[in-house]
Amino acid sequence: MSNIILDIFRFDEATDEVPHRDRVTVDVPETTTVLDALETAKADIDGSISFRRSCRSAICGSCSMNINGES
Amino acid sequence: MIKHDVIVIGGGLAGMRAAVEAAERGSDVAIVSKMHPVRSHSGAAQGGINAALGNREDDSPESHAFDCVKGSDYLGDQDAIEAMCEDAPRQIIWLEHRGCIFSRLPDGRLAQRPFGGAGSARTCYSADVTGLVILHTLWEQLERFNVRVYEEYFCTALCVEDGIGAGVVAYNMRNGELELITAPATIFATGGTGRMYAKTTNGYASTADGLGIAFRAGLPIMDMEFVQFHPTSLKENGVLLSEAARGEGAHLLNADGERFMFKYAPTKGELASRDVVSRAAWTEIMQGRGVDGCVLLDLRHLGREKILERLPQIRELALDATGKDAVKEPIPILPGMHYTMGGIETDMWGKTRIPGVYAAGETACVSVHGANRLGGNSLLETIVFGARAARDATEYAKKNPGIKSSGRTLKAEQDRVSEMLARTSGERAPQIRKRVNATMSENAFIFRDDAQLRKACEDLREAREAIKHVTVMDKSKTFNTDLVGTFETEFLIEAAQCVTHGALARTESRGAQARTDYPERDDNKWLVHTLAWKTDGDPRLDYSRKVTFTKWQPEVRSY
Repeated sequence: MSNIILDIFRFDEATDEVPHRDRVTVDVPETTTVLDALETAKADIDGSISFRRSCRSAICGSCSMNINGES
Repeated sequence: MIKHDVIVIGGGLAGMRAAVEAAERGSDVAIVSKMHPVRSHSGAAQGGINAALGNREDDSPESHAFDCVKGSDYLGDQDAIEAMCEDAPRQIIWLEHRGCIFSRLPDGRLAQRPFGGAGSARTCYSADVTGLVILHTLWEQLERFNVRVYEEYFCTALCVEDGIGAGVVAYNMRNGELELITAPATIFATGGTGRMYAKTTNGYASTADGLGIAFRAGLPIMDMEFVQFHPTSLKENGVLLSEAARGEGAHLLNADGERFMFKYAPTKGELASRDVVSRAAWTEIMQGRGVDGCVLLDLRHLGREKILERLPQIRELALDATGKDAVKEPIPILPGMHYTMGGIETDMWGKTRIPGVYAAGETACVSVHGANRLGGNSLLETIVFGARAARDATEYAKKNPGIKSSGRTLKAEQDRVSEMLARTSGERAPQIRKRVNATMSENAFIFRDDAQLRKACEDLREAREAIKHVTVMDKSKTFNTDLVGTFETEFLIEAAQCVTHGALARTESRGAQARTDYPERDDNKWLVHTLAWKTDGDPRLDYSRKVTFTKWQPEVRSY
């Protein structure tokens, strides 16, 4: 297991004027996917983190993200 | 208030096939889905779809039907199985005529591959991405007919007025409002329940939604104890490696390099039915002949060219998750929860016991799969019974145009959700769900016994109590997936209770239900379906529905 810092781009159209970034630290296995790390953050730390996901195996296309500047 | 003739809940293969059928018949049909339809988990179906076309070997709908009956361990209803197998070749041609790109033989006819438990090579396919290809074909048809899709609407309840279905209440994830969607005919096509287990081939969305809604509305849920564990899923993330691998000739090996399947299925070996292969693989692992808790799927002898042509996706999935290239080395795999044979009880036309309410696909139980589903039959079921349900629903809606919901259910759901969001103390759903996942994986897995199942029932009672006081951390109205996840966990607990209580009561081993304390099949007592009804406490079980026989009497089942 190791600590990973997720730096997440966030926006709630109902309450926010402009987007902001939140940092969340999760303890996850080294082999984890970014999606699993986000799931851990949502389940254990902040339930308001939201993202689309479905198949979690690079088939359906729901959870494509921009990560470290790359899509 | 939104109003249509027919609404379909769910946008996977069964839902889209139903919507296209209704649209072709001139009905005003809409899809209500918690996600964009082409993200549905049907898209992860890999291996293929069965139809007795006989393009490679002699075949007939009758031999297809017999394979299903035997595969079901004689619990499938034979009239429904015969209807499905008869319709299969027509449905494949229907899809083909709408542009579905199936793989072909050199002479141009549709290619077919051998699959587990099948007497001949009858599985049509598009390489190893068959579900995805059909999903996109159906999506094009929805566009062609301009079918309205309510995307990211999470359905929470069924409206029943004087015993008659009148539509649904759905939570609009974009703005956090509950809305009434009324229609004379409602078709549930919400897919599977895999997320009740910790390790599953199912994606995040397979959370028993339609099943939970139907159960709460007073409909019986049938044969839930029959959970299919797929023999070949990845240890790392549970992702499926298709049966097509074995269909194309892959071997299963234990730590000694032995093709162990021939000990358990002397004739069919790796191509025995899934329940048999999963039990065999798990037995090898449990008896110490595994490799790091896995057995090995070996594709190497197929050669690079064939792997890249026929099985490109599973090579990539394995490479991504394990770093191992199937062209060069065997892939460690183990059995994982894959499919729910049970579901909302329906007849052969997708009808439930509430007029105007239908179900099709994995969320339904017709029953064509009985105690064990054969590979290639789930896609077939979605297409055949999606169309059949829509045919009946369209006629019903024409005859009953005046039905609409009073708004009573909407009010009740608004109150329930407000109360849920107002709560500030209590556990969150993800924590409760982890316990459900743990007990299901530990106590309601491939082999079960009385003590394990009692423990699972007890743990689920506790989870059910906990979820009554659940706290939703996110209070926002914009894309509140914390709230949606809480709804899903509620449904999963109810579905899991149907599994464990059904499994505990069924004191026999049949198909996917393997009781170590009752290892034999008991045809004198158990040629009946399990119906689970909602009560204030545990589900009430009822065995009034007998298995329907047409041509085939139960025989000893061996492969």
